[in-house]
Amino acid sequence: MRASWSVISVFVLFLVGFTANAGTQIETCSPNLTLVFSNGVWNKRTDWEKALQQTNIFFEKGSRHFTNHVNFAHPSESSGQDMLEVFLMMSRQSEYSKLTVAQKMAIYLNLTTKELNTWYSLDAKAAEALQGLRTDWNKLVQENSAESLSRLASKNIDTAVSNDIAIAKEELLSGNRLLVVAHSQGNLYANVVIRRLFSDQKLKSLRNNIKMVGVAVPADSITAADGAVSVATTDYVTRDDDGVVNRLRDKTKLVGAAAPLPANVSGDATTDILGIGHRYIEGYLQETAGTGKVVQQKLIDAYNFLAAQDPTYQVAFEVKTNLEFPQTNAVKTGLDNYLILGDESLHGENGVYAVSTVTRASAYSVAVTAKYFCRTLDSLYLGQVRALPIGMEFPKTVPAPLRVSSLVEAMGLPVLDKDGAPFSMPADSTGSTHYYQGTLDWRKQAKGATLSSR
Amino acid sequence: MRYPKLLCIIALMGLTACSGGGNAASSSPGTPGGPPPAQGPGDISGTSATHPVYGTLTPAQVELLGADNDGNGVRDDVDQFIAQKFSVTPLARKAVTAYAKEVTVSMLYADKLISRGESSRRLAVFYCAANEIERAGVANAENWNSIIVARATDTEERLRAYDKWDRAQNVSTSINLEVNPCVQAGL
Repeated sequence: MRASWSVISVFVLFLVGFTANAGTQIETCSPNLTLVFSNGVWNKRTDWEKALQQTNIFFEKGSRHFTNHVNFAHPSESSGQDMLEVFLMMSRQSEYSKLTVAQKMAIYLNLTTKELNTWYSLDAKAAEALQGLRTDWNKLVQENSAESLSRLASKNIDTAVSNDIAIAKEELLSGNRLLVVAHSQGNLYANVVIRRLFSDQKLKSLRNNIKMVGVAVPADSITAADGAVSVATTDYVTRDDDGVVNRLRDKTKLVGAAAPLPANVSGDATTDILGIGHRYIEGYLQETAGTGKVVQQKLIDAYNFLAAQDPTYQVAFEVKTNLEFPQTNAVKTGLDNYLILGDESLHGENGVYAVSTVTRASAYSVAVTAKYFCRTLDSLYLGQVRALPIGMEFPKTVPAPLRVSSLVEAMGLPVLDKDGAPFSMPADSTGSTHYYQGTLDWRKQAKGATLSSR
Repeated sequence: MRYPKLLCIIALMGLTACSGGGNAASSSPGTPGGPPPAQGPGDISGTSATHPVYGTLTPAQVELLGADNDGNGVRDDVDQFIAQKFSVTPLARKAVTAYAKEVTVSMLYADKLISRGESSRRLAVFYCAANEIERAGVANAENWNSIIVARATDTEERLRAYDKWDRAQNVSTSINLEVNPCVQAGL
């Protein structure tokens, strides 16, 4: 049974699909969902463990299940460094004003004596913590130049972002969909992580497999499901009495930096010295005066969004450019096309076999490893990357067991080796070899292949 | 075997962590009668010692660990607290004890950056205990892990050591919940 194929342009490469056995039904499957918590400043391990667990308990009560749990780890080396990182990440969202980095940082974080005294009168414990922050911050600024502070923070941020991207990518390429609950500074991280993820061509087809819910957002936007920048109030929750976000908002006004997204729910705290209105569990997830319900509904909406994504065409591609051409394992299948038999280096994870073609006409070659999610292996598709003119159909039947040689023969193409001599298929290219479907826009290769699932 | 008491006597003569004559639960470290500050490198009053769970420990580590008469890697007063508060099921007690042990390991090896695999296993310990506590319907149990950390890090030295470890960890962590966390944690 032929599944499908699509054409993008005259010079288009297809991955055309066939099921292994005629009449095989495409299996429906439940999506694997991963719950991600992207933590903010001063979060200890106990905090993010609890945040994940409590969020999961909420979902479980509604019979909504996650396969995996992930924490985007953002270490908190010191309170001063935390704030520096927040500052830098917020500043990066928009153009700097003419103030120096040091000036901006000072404005952001210099707590006045009056403020401290006010807080002391209200809550000594909180004021002590804030004073500790000020001491820590002042020490940091006194002992380091603005440039070295900036470098230090940048290094920490980059390391954390890289770690987050690595684990998110792993989840995505395993076929999982990610519900990212980002709290506080975790929003700044999650924004960067998700946007960078989808700047990766091979992940673009999976952009609807991540949904972020921003909570207590210091960022000026959050990343929407399609990877775009969003300021929609449907995608985040910030209390109007969130003392931390409000403070950051005040400071951004002073320096002309990007302000946090506006508050969109009413809190009931007359003062928020202890930061209750900012806390993920107490101030948002389990809050009983109304905010909690808003947060919970957004979480449910995000879950439903991910669960509703059609799993049928979830395809991710691994593109390897600049392969040496012609490859020793290349088989000429057309005038300018070669089928590269997957070797170990082209095998994907989970036994996925890689298939690729190169064109002589292209300035460089490309190998494609496609993964087809949410299917059992025996109902996977057989396909091949090759160039076909519009309207030319792929053969409708392929003898079982699947064999590359059978496929190529069925296509009526000459099978030649790189020297043009008749080619014998290696034995290991048969049996459990699977190919996958999708489309590849060959035209975009000059800047890196653009890949998409259909 | 009353190993830890022996260890204290041999290796840490004079350290008040051993005070209380092995009745560590009655000693409340961090309060008068608790352990003194950690030994400096040149201090000869303490020597390294061997623990059945942790192997060779420096004097400072022995002090951070405190009295561990049953040699299970968790300080005795923490063991006792867990027995009182989290014995709702045998598995709950076992899992919470395992969590306390992870906290203890963090204190003892505060400079160590754990791998993703270690972090995942530790998260499995957390979920095993959390699920069991949740299942057993323990009232107001959502802060159990914070309580255990607070109990285990009951002196400035312990808190500082744990805090140092906690702040340094930068590994993103994942766990597959399709596999029973208790099994993943080896419990």
